[in-house]
Amino acid sequence: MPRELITIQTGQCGNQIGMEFWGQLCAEHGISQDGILEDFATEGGDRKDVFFYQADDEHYIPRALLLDLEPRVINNILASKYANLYNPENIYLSKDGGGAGNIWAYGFSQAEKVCEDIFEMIDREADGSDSLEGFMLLHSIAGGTGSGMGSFLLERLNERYPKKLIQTYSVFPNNEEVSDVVVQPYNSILTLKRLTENADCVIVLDNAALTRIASDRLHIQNPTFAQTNQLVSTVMSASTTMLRYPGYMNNDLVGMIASLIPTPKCHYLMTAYTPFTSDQVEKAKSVRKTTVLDVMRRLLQPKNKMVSTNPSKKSCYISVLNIIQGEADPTDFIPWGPASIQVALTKKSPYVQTSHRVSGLMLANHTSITSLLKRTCDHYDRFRKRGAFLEQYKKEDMFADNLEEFDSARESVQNLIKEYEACESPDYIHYGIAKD
Amino acid sequence: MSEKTRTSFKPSSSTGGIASRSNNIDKRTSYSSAAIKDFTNIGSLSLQLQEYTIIEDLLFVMMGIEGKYIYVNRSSNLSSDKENRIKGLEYVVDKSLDTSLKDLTERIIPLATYYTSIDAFIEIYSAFEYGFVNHALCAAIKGLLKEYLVLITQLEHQFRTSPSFTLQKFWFHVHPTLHTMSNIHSLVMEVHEVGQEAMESEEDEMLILEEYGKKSAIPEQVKGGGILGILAERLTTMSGDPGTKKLYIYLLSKASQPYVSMLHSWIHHGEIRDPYEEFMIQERKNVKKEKLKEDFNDSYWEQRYTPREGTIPPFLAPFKNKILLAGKYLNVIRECGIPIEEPKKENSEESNEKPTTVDRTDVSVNSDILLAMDGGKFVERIEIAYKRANRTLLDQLLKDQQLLARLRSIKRYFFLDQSDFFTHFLDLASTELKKPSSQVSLTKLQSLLDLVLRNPSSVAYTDPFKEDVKVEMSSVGLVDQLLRIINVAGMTEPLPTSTFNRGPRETFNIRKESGRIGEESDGDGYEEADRLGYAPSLVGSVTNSLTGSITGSSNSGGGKQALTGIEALSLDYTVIFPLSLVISRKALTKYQLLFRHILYLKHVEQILCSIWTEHFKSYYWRESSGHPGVEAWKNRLYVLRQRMLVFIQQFAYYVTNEVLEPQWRTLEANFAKVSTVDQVLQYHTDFLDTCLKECMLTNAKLLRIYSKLVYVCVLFANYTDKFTKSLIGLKSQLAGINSNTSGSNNISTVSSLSSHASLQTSIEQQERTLSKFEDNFVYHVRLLIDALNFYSATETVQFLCLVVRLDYNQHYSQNSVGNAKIH
Repeated sequence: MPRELITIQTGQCGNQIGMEFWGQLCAEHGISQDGILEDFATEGGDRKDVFFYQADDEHYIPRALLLDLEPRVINNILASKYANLYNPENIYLSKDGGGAGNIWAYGFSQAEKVCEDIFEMIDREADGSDSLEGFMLLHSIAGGTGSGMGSFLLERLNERYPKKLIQTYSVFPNNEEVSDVVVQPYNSILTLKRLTENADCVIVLDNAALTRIASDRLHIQNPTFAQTNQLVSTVMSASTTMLRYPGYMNNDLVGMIASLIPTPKCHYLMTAYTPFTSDQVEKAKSVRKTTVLDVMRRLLQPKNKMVSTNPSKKSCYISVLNIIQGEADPTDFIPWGPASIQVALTKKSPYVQTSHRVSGLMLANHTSITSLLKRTCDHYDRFRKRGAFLEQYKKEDMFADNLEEFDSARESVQNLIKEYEACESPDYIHYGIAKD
Repeated sequence: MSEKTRTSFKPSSSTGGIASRSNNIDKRTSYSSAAIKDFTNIGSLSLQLQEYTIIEDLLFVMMGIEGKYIYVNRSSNLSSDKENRIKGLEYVVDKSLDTSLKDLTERIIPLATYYTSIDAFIEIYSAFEYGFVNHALCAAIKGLLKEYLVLITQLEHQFRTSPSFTLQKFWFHVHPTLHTMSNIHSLVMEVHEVGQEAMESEEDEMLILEEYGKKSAIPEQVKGGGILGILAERLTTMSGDPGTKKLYIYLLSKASQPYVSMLHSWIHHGEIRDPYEEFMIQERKNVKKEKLKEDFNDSYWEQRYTPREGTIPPFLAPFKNKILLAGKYLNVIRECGIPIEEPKKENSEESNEKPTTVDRTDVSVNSDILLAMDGGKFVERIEIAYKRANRTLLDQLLKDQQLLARLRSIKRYFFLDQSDFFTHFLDLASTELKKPSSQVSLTKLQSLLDLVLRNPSSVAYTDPFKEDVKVEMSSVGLVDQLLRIINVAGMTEPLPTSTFNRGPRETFNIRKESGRIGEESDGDGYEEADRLGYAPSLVGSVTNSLTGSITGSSNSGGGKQALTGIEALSLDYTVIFPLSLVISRKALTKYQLLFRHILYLKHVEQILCSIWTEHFKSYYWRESSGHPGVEAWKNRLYVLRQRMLVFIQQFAYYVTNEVLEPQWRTLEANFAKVSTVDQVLQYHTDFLDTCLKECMLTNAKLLRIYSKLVYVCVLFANYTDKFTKSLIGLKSQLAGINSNTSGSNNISTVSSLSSHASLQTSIEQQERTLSKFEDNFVYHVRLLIDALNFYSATETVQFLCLVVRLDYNQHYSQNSVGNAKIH
């Protein structure tokens, strides 16, 4: 039916998250691993067609494109129990299968080369939907394929589908640890430019925070990727519940994010989720009882935020949307309290049993996101000063002559930081004039 | 009991023997012959003869036949029409009769008057038009008269056979009867008088209602319940005298039998068999259930069956409502075509008692009438019947007709609680809905709606009642319609606003602005007029600066403008009979009002979202112009759009999550514990009224401010194209300057200066336009917040939630000077 979303998952990280995400959606909608509606899934009240379409044989097929330049992750998916869920035509694997080698530039140029093939797939999916609302891009900004190919797609999607929304779930690298991808500051800064300029809504998923949540809140000392990815898929499924379980309001993506993002540039959203329990993450220890009020309060606690930021004294919320899922009774709210933060109440899937009554997701547009951006910039600046690891990039056309692209990306991110900082002042409304 | 009553008519001793009979006959024949000789002067006869003659005369007179020495008093009985016949004939005794005999005779004579009176009463009131109760009463009295006649025969027999039968003895035998007869006579007279009075008082009305006059020529006070009332009244007032009490109990029990059987058929079957309009409940056949669908007032439920207030027997009055409701409920069930089970079957769980309850009917009624006053079986039976009817109809509504599921479905369509299908519908029908409402094709909309509802991926697909939803076009705008309703309501009942006139005026700055409100009188009419006049004047002062079009159509003159499809769009819902009692036209209209309110919020939200998309996705808005002035202007535009969107969304959140949903939960909780059908109706009406009130649809002032706010939003949205054009214009100007400056390297400073200046003026011009929107919007939001704060004291505290929502970070209340005021 209406307002479909097409999910594009690129790179290792994107595909891994995607796999978890689809697994979660299938469970919530009562769809079996093969895409067939389970017998018990008769309760209705949900809308599957935003994310799935039905093939001729009643199979539910995700509106998803699986793109990667190396076969490992996708092969894993095809070997998993969900192998039959996806449309095989929607899987793109680079023919040489060498991957992007964690180099943004390589991923970008590879994508450019196979652009035709990919857009044929995207066009086919878009044609298959009644009134496409937009795209969801799942990727990481640190690696090569997700960031490079993702960046390329962002640019092209905007040209090709100028009226469609582009929402991304972008995994930010853990800056605090030594990463196996040494060039991740370069990749990040280049991707951030595209995210700033070409995406409409970026949901920031910070690996550092995910690890912290896993260890602090769930008491898993060394969380695996699979476990953190489950956290991500939980957030993703929660943030899309309003589309899948329609309520009074916010039944389309635009209505949901329009109020969150007032001005085009400031579109980085951070999330918080509570409670994480063993249902979402295996082997995690369970948390306490939940009430709506409790959930609302905890959502605002920094330790539940999925982004590691260092808010300054001036940091403030631009907007907040809390999605409360479950058997929430609207009369549970205190009438004067934070209920006036936009709160959307949605149903919970009847097919997934959880130990907690209510769960909540917060999507917030908070100016402290700049600290994350600044950190990325700092890392970049340090690398750039030394001119380290640039050889790989110079191999590609884009950087063959000069490194202007880096500078423009850096500037773009800097402008974004400035704008966010301007948001903190009460005369943001005259932002721009102040510069005169 | 009747046995006992009868005994009082018998001579207390059966004196006289066969031996003395012949003796007596002889005397009589001889006396009679003597009497014939000179009957004109009884005084001249011997005492003994006088006695015999007068006894003989009395025996005739007591049967209403005029005697020789006892005459009818012609002077007081001039006419012989009904009225006077009921009063009875008056007799006088021949003056020459011996004084002692005369004295005795005069004591007995009233019996004759009573007899004639009662006889006349029976004759008149046995006519068919007096109704069953009167028939029964007459029959009972007739029975008594029969015994009276038997007494006379017995007396005559004694008189003929016993030589010792004297006038004294006569008096001795007749004495108790006199008492009874006088009681009946006074009853008869009272009934007659009541009837007479009623006739007189109704006379005038009868003349007016000629057509009804013929039908109910017999006043209802002397029919059915009225008669029973009189009887019961007399029974209580005269209960000190055991004989009288017995008499009345007897009469009451007889007379009430037809009434009781009527009552029975009403409380057990919901039927009225009442050809003579005697029953306490009145059926108006002209109020048809079919009208429920169109009728705005719930007249079926209210008016089809009404108690006849004047004629409810006092002993039934306490149960009036229960009796009325019991029958009404059953009637509804019967109207649904469901056979009503016999009470016997219904009582199957108490099957042991069953035969007794039925057999007892007559007996228990007799004593029940008596007991009715201090409670008894009768009460119980009404109670049982009431509960049964209640349960049956409740089951019928809640289980068979699935009232709750129906309401849920209505909630889905009218409150859009799962509105995915509706978003799609609005998408599909957007072109159609942009047209003026007169040009919109209803069939097309209907088919689009059907299409959307039948889409298997829609949530509504599983709704079994989706066939019942219909698209409708309203001819009046929502706000206008509401204002009309409010005005009508204001005429008939004092609005809460009249109390608020005396409220703290100084705190409410809106009031102060319009000066004249302060002096107004409390008269509702004035108030209405003032309120109507006041709003436009307020708007006038506010929006003078704004483009004429805003004031033009926000002055509630918008109604004259043709409505667009979206403004007129409404839904209708087919409701079949028993449910239409609950979901009446009135209720549906309320649902429709709420629906259109929500719909319009959704619509405005959608168009603001589409501006958002425009701002985010279109090249012109997205690309930075590089000129700080232009960028600042863009930013202000974004912020204003954001404010509007937040306002609309918060409002919608408030309406849905803080009013409709909690109220709905309350309703559901209430329905879970209802025990009577009227409670169901009451809860449902309360639910709708509270929703309307808390959505501030019932307050003219709030409504006006709100409608203006929304109007500004819509106008802003419609203005977006112009803004985009201006932006393109600015950009091209800017491009011109840039090319100039870059090309000429600051040589032709004059031209660049002038173009700079022209750019500056056009930016300023744009800023002015924007400022008008900003000022207007912010002004009205403040006005609304103030008004809400004020009305939260008088109407509902729920408004405070809305205030908190609209102004969470006190943006509006703190920056009272307004950051919208620029430069």
